[in-house]
Amino acid sequence: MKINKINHEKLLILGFFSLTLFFIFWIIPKSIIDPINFGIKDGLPPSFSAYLVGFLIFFTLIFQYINGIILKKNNNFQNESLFFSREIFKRSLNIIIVCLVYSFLFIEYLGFYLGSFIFIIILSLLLGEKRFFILSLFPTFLIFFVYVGFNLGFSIFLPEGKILEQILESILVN
Amino acid sequence: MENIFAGIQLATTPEALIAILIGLIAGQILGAIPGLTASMAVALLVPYTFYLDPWIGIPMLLGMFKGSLFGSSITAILIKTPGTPAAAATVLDGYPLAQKGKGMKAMKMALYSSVFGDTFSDIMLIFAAGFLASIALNFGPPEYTLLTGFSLICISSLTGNSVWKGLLSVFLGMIIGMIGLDPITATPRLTFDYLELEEGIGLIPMLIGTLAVSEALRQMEQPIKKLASSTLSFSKNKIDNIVTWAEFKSTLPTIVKSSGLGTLIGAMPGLGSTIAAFLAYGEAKRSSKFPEKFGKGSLEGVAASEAANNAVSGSNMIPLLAFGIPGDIAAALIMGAFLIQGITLGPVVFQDNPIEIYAIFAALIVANLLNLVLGHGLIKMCKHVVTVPKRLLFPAVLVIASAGAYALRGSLFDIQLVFCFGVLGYLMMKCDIPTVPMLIGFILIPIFEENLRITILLGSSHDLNIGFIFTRPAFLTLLLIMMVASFIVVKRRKLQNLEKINHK
Repeated sequence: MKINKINHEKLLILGFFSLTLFFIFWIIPKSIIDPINFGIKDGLPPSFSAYLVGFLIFFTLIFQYINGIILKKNNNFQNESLFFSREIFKRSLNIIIVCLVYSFLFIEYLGFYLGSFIFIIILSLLLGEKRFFILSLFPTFLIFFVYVGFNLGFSIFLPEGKILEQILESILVN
Repeated sequence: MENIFAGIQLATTPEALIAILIGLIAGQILGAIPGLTASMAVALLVPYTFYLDPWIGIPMLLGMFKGSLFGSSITAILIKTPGTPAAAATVLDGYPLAQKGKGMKAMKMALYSSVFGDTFSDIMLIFAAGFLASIALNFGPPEYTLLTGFSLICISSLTGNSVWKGLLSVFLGMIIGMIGLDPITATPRLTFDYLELEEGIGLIPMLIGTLAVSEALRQMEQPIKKLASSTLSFSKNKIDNIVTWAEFKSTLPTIVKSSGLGTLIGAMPGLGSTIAAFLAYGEAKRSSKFPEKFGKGSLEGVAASEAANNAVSGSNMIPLLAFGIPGDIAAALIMGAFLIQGITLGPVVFQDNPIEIYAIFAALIVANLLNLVLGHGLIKMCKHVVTVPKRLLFPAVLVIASAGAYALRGSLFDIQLVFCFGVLGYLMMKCDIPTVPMLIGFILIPIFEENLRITILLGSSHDLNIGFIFTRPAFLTLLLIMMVASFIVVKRRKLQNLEKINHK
């Protein structure tokens, strides 16, 4: 798929513009509540910096839209195009999903060691590694290295995982 | 004089030398692991120093601190993953050099400039501790506001091709930096009642995510055939694997300037090596004869950031030794180790424990020399690590990065942040938005905001209101230095442009 760079930039500016408005008019009022009776003698209110940065982004985007898109100043890519490959998109999406599942689910429920072992195997398979020998030996070696370094070396105990914790708990109770 | 010799003798006993060596090796290895900072390396060792003789424990700590600063640059250059935040600026030119097959050259330049910066600041510490500390102590909130504000403006020189995208990135970093409790009123900001966000976003997960994970995601989208090869290849041309004398000589002015800048920043409590590295990098780019090479694999860029971040290690001992005020967390930890040994640092330490002070100075210099020797060994060892095929290396990098991110605060949330920032960094890369300005905005906003608000509070109780800042000699001197520096840079740029036009 091909997209003109100028259209890409236009889309980007408009996207950020909507996000900025959302930030200024919804996120800041909802998430930063200045203390009651906070006056000028107390200095700057907590929301000041957020509003300042919000408006700075707002004006930067307006300036860029006028200068770069309407007046076409400092724009040397009028005829250039960007290429998007569906295959790369699909691959990246798969990899990102695996990474997010690893960080949000695997480590929390299976624990760091078991979660990482499964994660390395899945990711290596996705990246084209099919040799069973490598797929089993490499994660084992790496996990062992991390265990020795972190647990034994620095006494940093990586998460055990909710499932393992429950199993251990039930064994201890019984 | 007697005291000096006694100090040197104390620091060069076989036990002390072995302690420095062990500290350096451990520091270099720890520094190379993403997520384990120099401060953390020192923190891990401090409790053990209690059981050691003072002149084994303290040199070991100093060696570990120095070793970790250099070790972090190795991974920054080879796999775009800074071992510590201080090496984040080294990524900018170190990684492009490695991609050109000049990884060895980049690592060696990092080693030489690190050792130079380190030694420079140690010499400054020895000869100018009192003087530099008195300058640093004159810096109050207005001066810090000016310094950080100027740095935020200077980031435009790091923004790549599109200024608006660079600015957008800085602002995004500033917003992320505001998440957490307000520094003055402790009001939650942008947290949406999510308890984990009240602590704020950690620098380590953000760094690892935006630099390492995003790069891993970008590389992993390549066709499967390409992923079977290693991440980097090293040029077989000898000249690409060494730093020639001519190259070192040409970067020497940058190294000296960056070492000076790093020394000055290290003497100011609270700023630290990450800021020093970025400031020195920006300054080197602005004053360079070839600014267009920066970000594409410039040896000057590697030298500037490495010299500056290492120069902090010596000078942050200046306020520590002269006034008992630690310049950063690592210095505070070293102070703790001294306290454990019964030595209270401060103005009287020069009278009460002169031999120990000279021994520290000697240990610092010895550690630098040994760092140079050991660094060569580490470079050779690390060369083999990146020969692992990409499809195995990247999953390994992601797992080690997750462990490193968890180690600092023991929080699962930090691991999740690593991957969220990784995806954000990847999307920014796809939209051609630079990620480094976002990191600088994130690092500088707390210092800038806190000092700005304190300055305004101070102004409200002053007759001249905010105008009181112009009655401060330190503020005026700093302002003058910045104006002169900007004027020189603008003038030089104009001359360079004119030269280019004349050439055409």
